[in-house]
Order: sequence, then structure tokens, then C-alpha cells
Amino acid sequence: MIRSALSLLAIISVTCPTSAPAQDIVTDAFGLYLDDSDPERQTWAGLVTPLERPDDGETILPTAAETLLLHFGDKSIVAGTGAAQISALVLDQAGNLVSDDTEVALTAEDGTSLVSTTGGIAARAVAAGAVPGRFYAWAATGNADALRQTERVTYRVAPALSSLSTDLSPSPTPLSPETVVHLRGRVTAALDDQTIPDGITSTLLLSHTDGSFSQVPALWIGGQPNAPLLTRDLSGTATAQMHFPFHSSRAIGLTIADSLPGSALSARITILTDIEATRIVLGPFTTASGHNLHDGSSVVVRLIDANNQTHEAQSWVLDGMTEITLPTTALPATLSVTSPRGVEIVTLAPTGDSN
Amino acid sequence: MALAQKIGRLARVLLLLCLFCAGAFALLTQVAGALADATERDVTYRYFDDALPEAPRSGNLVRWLPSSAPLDRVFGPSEQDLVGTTLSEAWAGHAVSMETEIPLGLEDHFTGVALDRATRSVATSGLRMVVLTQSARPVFFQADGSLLQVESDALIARFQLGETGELLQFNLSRDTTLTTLINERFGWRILSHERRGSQPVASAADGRPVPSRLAGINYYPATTPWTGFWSGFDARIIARDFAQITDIGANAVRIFLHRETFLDPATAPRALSDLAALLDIAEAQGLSVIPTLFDLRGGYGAVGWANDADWLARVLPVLAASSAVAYVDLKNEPDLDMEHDDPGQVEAWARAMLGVARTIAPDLPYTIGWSTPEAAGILADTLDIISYHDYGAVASSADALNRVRALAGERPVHVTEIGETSYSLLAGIFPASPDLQADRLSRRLQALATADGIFVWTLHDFDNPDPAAIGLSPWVRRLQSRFGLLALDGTRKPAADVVDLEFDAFLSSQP
Repeated sequence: MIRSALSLLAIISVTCPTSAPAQDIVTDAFGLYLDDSDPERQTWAGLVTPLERPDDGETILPTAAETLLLHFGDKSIVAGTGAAQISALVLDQAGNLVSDDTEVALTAEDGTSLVSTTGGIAARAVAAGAVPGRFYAWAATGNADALRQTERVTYRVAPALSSLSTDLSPSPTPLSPETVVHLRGRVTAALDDQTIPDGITSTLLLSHTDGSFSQVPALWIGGQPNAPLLTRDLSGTATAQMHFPFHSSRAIGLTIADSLPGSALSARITILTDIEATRIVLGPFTTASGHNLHDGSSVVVRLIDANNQTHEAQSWVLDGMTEITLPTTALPATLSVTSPRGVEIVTLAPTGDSN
Repeated sequence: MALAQKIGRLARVLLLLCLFCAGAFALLTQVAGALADATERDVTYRYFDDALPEAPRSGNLVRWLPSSAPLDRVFGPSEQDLVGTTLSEAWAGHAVSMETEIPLGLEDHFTGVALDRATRSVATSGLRMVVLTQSARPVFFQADGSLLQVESDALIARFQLGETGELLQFNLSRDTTLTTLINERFGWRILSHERRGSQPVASAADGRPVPSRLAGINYYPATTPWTGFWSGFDARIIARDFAQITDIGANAVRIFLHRETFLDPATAPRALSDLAALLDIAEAQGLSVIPTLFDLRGGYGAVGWANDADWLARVLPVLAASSAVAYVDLKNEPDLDMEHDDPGQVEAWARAMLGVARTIAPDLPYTIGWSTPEAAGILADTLDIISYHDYGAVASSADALNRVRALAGERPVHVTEIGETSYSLLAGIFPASPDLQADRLSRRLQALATADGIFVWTLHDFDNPDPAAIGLSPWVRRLQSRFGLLALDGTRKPAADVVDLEFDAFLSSQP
């Protein structure tokens, strides 16, 4: 019995207490205000109730669409398979969310769709086409004088590189020395209508038989990757493979011919009597195209002196020359020089310069 | 002649002695007064500090519900935390701005239309809105994470304060809202907020029946009272003390839940576990428990109301799960806070917390322990039990009880604090003594014999009462230190025997 009495008392006092105010107080989403004190606030859509009579509510409805706020994301999508979302938040003149089922035209590269609002928002997915590039999206609602439209936003459709498969084109064998050879890939598989914009990079890797590697940057130009390879000082056989971020081409074999020697090799000698040795300066190591051999190119020297003694040494090219000191002063002598130019014989006379 | 001279000399000595005593008493009074003034200034300064607008720092208090339809982007825990924090702090900030009528920092959490509206809405003198709880479910989440729309179910207090701070109107409703948020450079902000529905929250009490008569003792552990209760919790001490309470003849114990301990994420889990253990101990010993919530809560600014609602959501399920809980005392003596805060603000807080509590644990009966019988009319329209404290003249206790019973109607009336000090400054007579304490308690208990419940303050004497609760006045501290039924060494004081007898009579009689 006590509880029944309490319940009755409590229900009566949902809104409490006390003295009646002089003016009705209205409650809304942001609080409460004296009725008729704020005409602008009376345009805020949604439920309003008198503070004293919470069951006596009234819903203020929004008016026609006035403002559209456009959202588009992601701003970069992949051709063919990528998807983004376009959405428009639609408000009326007072800033209220428009009524549900207000039709909004949402336009992107894939066309225009009419979408109805829910909670003031109209949204749809945007499918990326096969053509990469930069595109526009926008939203509009109403027509004639009531047409309201957003500014355009741009978005990018990036090429679907992962859909590509490429191979290196066969090259003439052997490759000429001292020339720039363009090793090109060719697309063997791609999405329909896929176009590859110029400027995408990849890497050509040559694996030489001596275990060394050469790396050549490649660029996509005209829809195919192109690796310009200078065949200087790379003589011998190698395997070549183009590496992309998404796959690697099949490896192919290459042969690069020896460089042809340019001008004849000369030698300048200095007798070092104190140590009974001879210093030999060899060079220039030029190619048939007039270039010096690369710095660091290997040079092996074998000398047979006047006493028929044999001396060997190894050196490297620096600025087209190399310098060797051998423990003999018995001239004349015959010098055998092995370098990327091939094997050359030089006769050393006691007078100084020789060839 | 010699006799006359001796008498004259004695008279002069007595006169000097009297003058000395009078001077010493006057000096003591002056010092005590100055100390009291200094203490008062300290308290006043503390409240002034409380009165400064506090920036919202509530964290995520939103309870997230799963979306009813697939979203275009996963709304995961990190988003829930970020958006929940935005919603919680936005409405806490809005409430603070309403109190100050200055749009403080609203642009941190609102933008566009919503910022305009929030700013406009805070300039309404005396009109307040506080969002207490929010449950939300996402209904739209833009694929790139830039736009979010959530449907919320919020418990909201709206009220009007008069020019002198009195509560004119109060309304509690459960609103359905649609909130649109935009993820901007500095995080989420509310772009649009509309109210789609509202349901008045009935404050009906449909609680369990309260035991017909409760004879209880207010309880803090002897060595860890007030702020140390839960941080120093020891189940063995609780069990021993509760056994002593039953030995004194009580069938109930009134305890206090320190707000900060149960609010702090670092201490709350342990405190809740200890609370459950305490309730088990009480149940095992046949004691009913009256937990008093929000102990030592200071200030009633709206910035903390949602935290208080969250506090209730943690604590009340533990209380509701125990059959030992007879009823819940929502706040100890909030009427005393009305001297420093707007009375209407304090009352609105109490009504709001009562509403929140009933949505969380509708089966629990609720009361508020007012400090005097004169305050017992506050919220009398909605409390399940009317309770107050009686430290006034014993001669007026019975009349006060009758007045309170008249306004309570058929609801039980409990006097949840009576007490007498045994502190003796002079010769066992001033201001009290253990015997005087027993005598005064006996007379008070007899005067209140028709109450439905009566609780003595307190089980223990305290060697060092907590300044956070008692203040710094040496006089008050000494008086407060000797209100116990058990002395510092744990032995029963005469008051314990008297209470034992009176409780026996109280529990064997009908009101």
C-alpha cells in the first residue's frame, strides 16, 4: 500500500515543483527558453516541449533545402576496382537538416544518381572507371529557382598498376659496346582500356656472371617501360630482369661485347736506382669511342725483363691512367697489359717513354 | 584579627584566581574565535575556488551501441573514444556555459550551425540543461571518416532557478537526438544537433519494501575513517566491527562511499570489489546496510554531473545485487551545501541523481539524509524514505519527528544520525563525559522511539578525525573525536550499553 501511494505521488511530480512561472518555458535540443523570447530559435527544427507539460510536445519541421555540404572520399582511387563515397549534408535556411526523402543529385565520373536524404544526408558509392586521371564530383538539389548546388571537388583515379603484367623485349645479341641500348618492356596483361601514364618508374637489374649487379632506372613512356643501358665496361654475359612495385618480368639473357681499344697504349718509365725498381705509368686507356675506361677498371701487368725474369702486378685505372712499380731495372723489357680493352703488348726501352 | 586578615588574604587570592581564570577564558575564547574565523575563511576560499568555471574533462562517458545497419566505415573503439569524449565534453561545456551565461570554449566542440545554436542557447538567465547520460549508435559514417551521424538516447535535466537561486522548475526527460559530427583539423566537432523525441522520466519508486524498523549505527573504521575508509579497507576489521555492531543490538549499519575513490579509474575497481565484500559480511551477520553515496563531494557545478551519473552506474549495480542493502542514502546532508551553492542548484543535482539512480536500479528505495528535520521537506515529493539528522535540543526531538512524519505521509521516517560526544574538557562535566553521553543518547532515543529507523553516530571514537570532513577547528575536532560508542581502545563506553538497551526496546516495539 505504501508503494502504491508512493508511485502515485511520484507520477504526479514528474515535473516539479513549485510556483508557476509567469511565462511558459520551452525546451529544445539545446536547452530551454522563455516562449516568444527568441523568434529565431523557434525555427530550429525538432521536438519542443513546454517545461511544465513534457507530454505536450510539438515538432518544428525544416523548410526547403538551402545549403549543401559536400563530402567526397577517398580523394584518390584505383582505376577499375577502386570506390569512393560522395555524400551531401543538406540544410535548410535556418540550418536544420532537411526532411527525409529530399532528392539530391550526386554526380561523379561514373554518372549522376538521384539519392534520397536520411537524417539530412544523401550518400552513394562512386565506382572508379578504367581511365586514370583527375575527375570532378558535385551535388545538387531542387530545380529552377530552388536549385542549390555545391562547388565541384576533384578526385584522382590512379592507374591500376597491380593489374599489369610485363615482359622485357628480346634484345639483339650481343649488345654493342659503348652504346646506349634501350631495353624495353611490353605489357602482356592489363585491365580493359587501361592506360598507363608516362613517368611511372621501375628498375632494370643486370646480374653479371662474376656476381656483380648493375641497376638501371626505367621509366614508363608511351605505355611501356624503357631502361636506357650504357654498355661500356660491362662486357660479358648477364641476365636482365625488370622489377615493378607489383611484379617482376621474366629474366632474359644478354651478352655485351668487349669494348674496342682506342689510341695505342703508351708507357713512361722511371728507374728508381735506390730501390732497384722501375716505375711504369701506363695510359691513356681509351675506348674506340674516345672515352676513358671507368675509374677502377682492372689492369693486370706482366713484365719479362732483360734477364728473362718475369714480374706481375695488378692495378686500376684512375683518370684513364695507371701506375705500377716493379722490382727490376733490367731493360729493355716486354710488358703484357690486360684490361677491358683486351691484351696489349708494350716494349719498354731504357730511354723513357715506350710503346 | 588574624582570622580576618587570613580571610581577607584568601579572598584576594580567590579574587585574583577568578580574574586570572576569567582572563584566561576570555583569551581562550578570542583565540578560538580567531581560529574559527581563519578556518571559515579557508572554507570560504575553497568554495570560491570551486565556484570558478571548470573546464570539462569528463572523458568518454558515452555508452556505445552497435549500429543497426552496416556502415561505410568501421566505427571502432578508437573512434568511439574520440567521439564519445567530444560528445561528453561538449555537453558538459555547454552546461558550464549556461551557468556562467558565457559561451566558454564552445567552439572546441561545436561548429557551424551547432556552434551558433549552442552559443545562443547559453544566454538564458536561470535556465539550465545538463546532459546526464548518453547512449549512442552510429547511423552514418562517411567512408573517408570525415562525417559521422549518431542517434543518441540521453537522460537530460532541465530546470529553472529563481533570482535568489531557488529551484522553480525541474524536468527530467529521456531525449532521442540526431547529432551530426564533422572530423576537422583538430578533431571531431558537432555540426548539427536535433531533438527527435522526448519521454518524461517518471520518478516513480517501485522499490523493495524497507525493513519495518531499523536500529543502526553509522560506521567508519576506527583508524581509517572518511577518506581512508576504502583506501584502507580491511575485511577482517569490517567483520570484527560489524560483530560489535550486532553485539550492541543494532540490525543496520550506515556506511559512506567516498566519491573520489569510486570515481578514480585507478581505485574504483578495487573499491567496488571491497564494497561487495562488505555487503557480504553484513549479510552474513544479519545487518541491513544503508550506503550513503557521494561522500565528501564538494561543489555542484554542472561540469561534474555526468561524472556523477557515471559514478552511479558503477556503484548501484553492486548495491542492487545485494539483499543486505535496505535503501540508499543519495547524499549526506546536502542542505548544508546550500549555504555555499545555490540551493536550487543543489536540489536540482539531487533530483537529477535520483532520476539517474532510478533508471539504473529502480528496485532500490532512496532517501537523502538531511542535516535537520527542517530540511526534510526538500524532495519529500519523490523520496521513498524521509530521513534527517537530529543534533538539536532533545526536548524538541519528538515534535520534530511528528512534523516530519506529517509531511512523509505513509512513507517511513528514519533519523539516520543522532549522537552525543563524550569529550570532557573540565572535570568530567564540560562539555560532556562518557556518562553524560550515555544519558543524553538515552533520552534522545526515547524521544525518537516512534521513528521507523534510528541510527547512532558513530561506532568508534576517532583519534584523528579527517580534516577533509570535520575541518581544522581544534574544538570541533575534539568534540567529533569522542562521538563513538566504543572508546579508542575498543572497549564499550557507557553509551554502548544504553544504546543496546534502547535498541532492544525499539526493535521489540511497534512505531
